[in-house]
Amino acid sequence: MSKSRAKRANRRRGEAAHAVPPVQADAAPEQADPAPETIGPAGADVQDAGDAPAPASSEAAPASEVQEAPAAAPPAADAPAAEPARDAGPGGRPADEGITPEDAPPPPPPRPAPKLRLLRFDGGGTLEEKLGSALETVEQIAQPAASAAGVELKKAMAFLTGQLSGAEASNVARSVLSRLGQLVASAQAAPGGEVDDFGRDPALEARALAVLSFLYRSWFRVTVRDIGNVPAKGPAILVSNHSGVVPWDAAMLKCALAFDHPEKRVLRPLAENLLFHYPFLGTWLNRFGAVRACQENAEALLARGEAVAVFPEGIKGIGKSFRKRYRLQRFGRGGFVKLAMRTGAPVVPVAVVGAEESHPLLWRLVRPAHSSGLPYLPVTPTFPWLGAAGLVPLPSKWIVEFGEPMRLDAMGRADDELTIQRIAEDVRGDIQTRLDRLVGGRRSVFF
Amino acid sequence: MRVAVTGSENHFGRAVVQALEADPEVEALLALGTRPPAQKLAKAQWREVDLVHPRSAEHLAQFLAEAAVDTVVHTAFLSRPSHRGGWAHELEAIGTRSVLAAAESTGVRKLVLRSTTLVYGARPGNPNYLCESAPLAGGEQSPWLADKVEVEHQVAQFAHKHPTRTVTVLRLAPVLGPTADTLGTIYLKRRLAPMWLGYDPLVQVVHEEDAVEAARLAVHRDVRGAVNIAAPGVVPLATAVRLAGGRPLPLPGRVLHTVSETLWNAQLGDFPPGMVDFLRFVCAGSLRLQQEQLGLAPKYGAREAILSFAGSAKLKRMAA
Repeated sequence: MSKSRAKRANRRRGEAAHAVPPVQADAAPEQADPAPETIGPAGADVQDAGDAPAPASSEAAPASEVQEAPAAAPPAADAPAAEPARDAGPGGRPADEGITPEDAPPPPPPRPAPKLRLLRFDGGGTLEEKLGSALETVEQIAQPAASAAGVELKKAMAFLTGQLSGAEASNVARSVLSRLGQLVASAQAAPGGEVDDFGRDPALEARALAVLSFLYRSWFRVTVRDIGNVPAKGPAILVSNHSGVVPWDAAMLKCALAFDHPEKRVLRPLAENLLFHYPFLGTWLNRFGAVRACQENAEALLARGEAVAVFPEGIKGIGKSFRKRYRLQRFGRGGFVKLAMRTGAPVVPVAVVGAEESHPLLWRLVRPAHSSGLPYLPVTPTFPWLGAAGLVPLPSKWIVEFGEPMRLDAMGRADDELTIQRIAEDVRGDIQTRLDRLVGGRRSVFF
Repeated sequence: MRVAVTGSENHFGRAVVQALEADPEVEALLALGTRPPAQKLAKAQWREVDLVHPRSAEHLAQFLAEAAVDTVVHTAFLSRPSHRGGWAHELEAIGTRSVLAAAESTGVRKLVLRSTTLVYGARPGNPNYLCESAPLAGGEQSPWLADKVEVEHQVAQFAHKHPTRTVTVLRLAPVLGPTADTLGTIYLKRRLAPMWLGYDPLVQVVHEEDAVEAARLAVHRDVRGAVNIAAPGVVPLATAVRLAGGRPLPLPGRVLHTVSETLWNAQLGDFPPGMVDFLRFVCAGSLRLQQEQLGLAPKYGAREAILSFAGSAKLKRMAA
């Protein structure tokens, strides 16, 4: 709770307290005049009034307000202010009317201790009825403006926690207090920040995709081939080459599925530890849909029917120098093969052409990078010469081709290392063949 | 069924006693703790047991035998790190030895242990959801967690030694709620909640009602081994702080570490320095067993639990 809100709450309570004294001032002299010598009862009455009218008048006030205009969301400060006027008219005992409004029209019989009646539990009605009505009242007020209902809730609190005894009452009080608290806080909570079970924030993702669509459509002018090979729904493992210093290929793959796939699928790239735990970047990638690459996460995502993208070359892929462009590096330890065998999800090979030229890596500086936690400092034709502007990728022309989906679950057991390595090499060969064909077939790097 | 609850004076033990008190299937209920319960209990009998006392095992065994207890719910653990590290070790690690010894020598056929998901530790290699079989690496982060890991190992040994007895370990995510008093509540109560600059891990919590219900279900159902208990869903830490009415205060990791270490050593801070890793890496439990084996259907999701905690704290301040 912020300090300003605390202040506001205090001020509101202060207002309610200030609104009450007129009642006291009216009522106390009336009773004090006939018997000025009985200081004890008068003192007790004043004390009573000091405690009771605040909740009592407020209880009557919101109830009447709700009947007249349920959607009006009355500010609490108004209600106690309006109430004393009505109470002062009959000149009766305001506390009584406040407690039982339905008993008000017949002449009020002398009630010795109205405050106790309000709080004591053994009056009419069962526990459920009382709780039900208390909850209803509170919900009506708390939903539109929870902060305005502080006094009402305070009464409910005293009613529930103060005067009940025994374990059952504690259990009930606990659950009522919990739900009331949730109501109050949710009325004030700012929306947003909602993420799915793996940290993807759909609102942030939509904003990021809107920005990335410029890169996708106008900058890299991505040509997508055979995207229908990605299943329309259900789990899928996209296995792609990885290149360029900044992993734009993962972002463009995500764009391809979001913009050009008939079902507008969401892609969950699996990010390596180094990237995923890099400050700011990792958190942002996570909200954007990326998940730390490990078998448990991948299996859980596929079980949810999501499409994941893996880059088995890892950091070796994006960190290879320009001389080795379009030469696939070692395919990790075949984790994606095990994954496909265990889950039965189809593997879709993906070849991305163009990313190599977006940041041609000339040299890697290893030593100066250590202090920043990076594995190396990339040197490209533009970075670090142009500073941050050097991180703007060159506008190479991209082609993304999706291969036929492969089912691996019938091809062997997930603990057969030889088979796993063989299949991983087969997939690598498939992507390499596609790359060679696409690179050989393009007119120019930039057009 | 005849149940004994240790640690009846802490927020969790008290709530478990209250829940079992209202449970008609519990014939006899023994509340074991250092302080008598504040409210009158109809079914439950209170017995003074201080697990730090050298003869606590004998006392416990006597009480358990007298009441013919068949199920022990062991909740006498610290929900937040204590500056009295030696005492905390005596209470948790040595106290659990006493409880196990007493249970071994009497007719106890089931032991329900309260643990925490923090025993997994916040490590960069954690998957988003840790299975119950994941290694317990939290001990490296703080002596407070090292005691809890030691307790888990003791209890696992006990389960191995007595295959006929059921041992259930409830690994609770940080408990939030109107009466909870845990590391989670003291963090979220802060107006400015320190965070690790550049990191916003997904956090898991559980509402105290659901945590207590998990303990009640564990008394009823025979579940062997550990079960993670948490509300469905995760919330980024910064969002949790904002939902709770606070503001995140991002600090560089080194500053965070130094400040928490200095404050802790000066006996002023609530967080031992090792715990700051929980502000950086995810440490959440897989909830498959909670649903499949324990049959727990939490009433509060993660967001709702945080809102409930924040709102009820506000209501309590208003009523006070």
